Amino acid sequence: MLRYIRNRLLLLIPVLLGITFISFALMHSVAGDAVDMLYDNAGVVVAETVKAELRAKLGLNQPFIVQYTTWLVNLLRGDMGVSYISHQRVFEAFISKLPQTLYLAVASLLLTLAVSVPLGIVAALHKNKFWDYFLRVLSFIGNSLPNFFVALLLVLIFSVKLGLFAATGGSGPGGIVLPALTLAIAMSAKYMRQVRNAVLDEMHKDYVLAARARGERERVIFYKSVLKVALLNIVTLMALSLGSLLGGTAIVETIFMWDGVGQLAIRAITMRDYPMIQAYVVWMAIIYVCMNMAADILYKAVDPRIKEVQ
Amino acid sequence: MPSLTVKKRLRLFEILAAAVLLTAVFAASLAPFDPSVQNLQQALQGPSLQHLLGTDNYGRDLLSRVILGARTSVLATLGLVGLISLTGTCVGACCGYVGGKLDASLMRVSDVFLAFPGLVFAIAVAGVWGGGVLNAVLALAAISWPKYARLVRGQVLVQKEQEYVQAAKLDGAGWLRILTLFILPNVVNTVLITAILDFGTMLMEIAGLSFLGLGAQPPTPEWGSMMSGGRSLIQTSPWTILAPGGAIFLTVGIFNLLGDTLRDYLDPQQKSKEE
Repeated sequence: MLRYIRNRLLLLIPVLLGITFISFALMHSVAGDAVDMLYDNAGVVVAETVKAELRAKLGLNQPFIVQYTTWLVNLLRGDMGVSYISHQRVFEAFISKLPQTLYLAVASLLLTLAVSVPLGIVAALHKNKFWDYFLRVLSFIGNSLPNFFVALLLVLIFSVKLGLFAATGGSGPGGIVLPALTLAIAMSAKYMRQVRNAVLDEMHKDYVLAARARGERERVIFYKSVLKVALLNIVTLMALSLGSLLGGTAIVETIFMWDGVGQLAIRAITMRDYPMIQAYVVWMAIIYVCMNMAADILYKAVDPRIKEVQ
Repeated sequence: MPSLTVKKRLRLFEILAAAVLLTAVFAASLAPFDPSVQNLQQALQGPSLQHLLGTDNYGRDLLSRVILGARTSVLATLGLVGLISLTGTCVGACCGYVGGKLDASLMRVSDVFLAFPGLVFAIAVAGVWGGGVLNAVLALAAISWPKYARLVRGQVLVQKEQEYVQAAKLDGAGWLRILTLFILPNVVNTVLITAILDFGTMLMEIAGLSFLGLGAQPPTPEWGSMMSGGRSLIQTSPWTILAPGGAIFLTVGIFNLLGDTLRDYLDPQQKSKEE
């Protein structure tokens, strides 16, 4: 197990280097460098010599690879530069908004679990009967709606027609309901099917047949064995979702004015605040790969049947 | 629809998908009105016989804009899915067949692109290089091709050990011949099913970027940006978001059903596992 974790960590290093390299190269590729940008944003016109001096001071004349290394070392120290707009340190700005996004992601994940597990079990137990077909249709609909449309439909139904929740703003206690529901609907549509199939898969295993042959009651077999194994699979699958969920929150955060990193990034884009965009993309990718790794390790820890693949 | 045979269902969804594609291609001649002509006296009218889906805040006919929007949304998605499935297949086939250092290094590269979650990379690209459909497509392509590369690589690794490949080798066939004439035909079904099932997801991502203002730019009609424009009108004129939203839902739904049915048709084993 320890060896597995060590190998997994070693595999992470080239990926992390790749992520940072691409993110840096992307920002580096923009025509007009950071110095022009700084002065343009400030609305000042200065002589080329002044710009050249600042470039030399910031190390922008150095070869690409040297700049990348310097930037990487700073990144590791939590220094990602200063916002062109607010002159805030971007890493601090990113970290201060991250809890809001995490809160939203975790809330929608819990909501997804609460919806998809019972419905998935119902579908499995009523396989090819009315409820199974009905839930299949619901899942199909949920899979074919983009999250921004779901968000607007929820606003239309719950805010405009029923007046239950405010359409925007995460301030009130009900503020999280609509954004979390939006994210949970698409995920539930997916996981409901997976819970159903995992339960059915498990019910066809030999040990279930053996338990039946021993005369165990169906209910005992189901709750003591089948459900436990099926749920374990689902929970690890969902751990994988948390990462992509973090990335997918940008649209929902924008619609509901949720004060998280997604909205921060979208705002940064409209103002061409490159250091902020850079912090967003680098850290979201780092969080995502680390979560994937944690999910893999978790999966391996709870299920010893997964053989070590060298 | 359990009463229809798989074959009939497949035919039905093929026709529907073809109808969507044809609408996208011939959008300009199908639209009843000029989608860019403004008529403020007709602004924000609900659905009526003259304007079946109503009009937007500039009095433009929404049905025409939805039809014209298909051109941007559907054709961009088609290009994106074509690009990633072709690139992925080529890379995956080479990796799987050649193996060694080429395989190892290309797979590491694909790991890196897989590491960017969801729209994050596309948001960054749009933020740096600017919005636009082309940038959106390229950014989504960059993070989506590895899925196909891995899929094809895995299949090629299995196929290459099969006896028919050995026989072809004994027959003196070169690697390119073996790969394209013997191995790829066995892989193409899986790629096709995956591509069709991805169509909906990709369409929603492109529309999502446009919704954020990072994809198609107004006044080009595109479903995502049309919905973004209708956002502030949701209280008074909900049809301005329901029309393009419904178009996305229908298109994604049709392609999802087509992909599922095609999988049932080509790979009955997968189906029996599902049922």
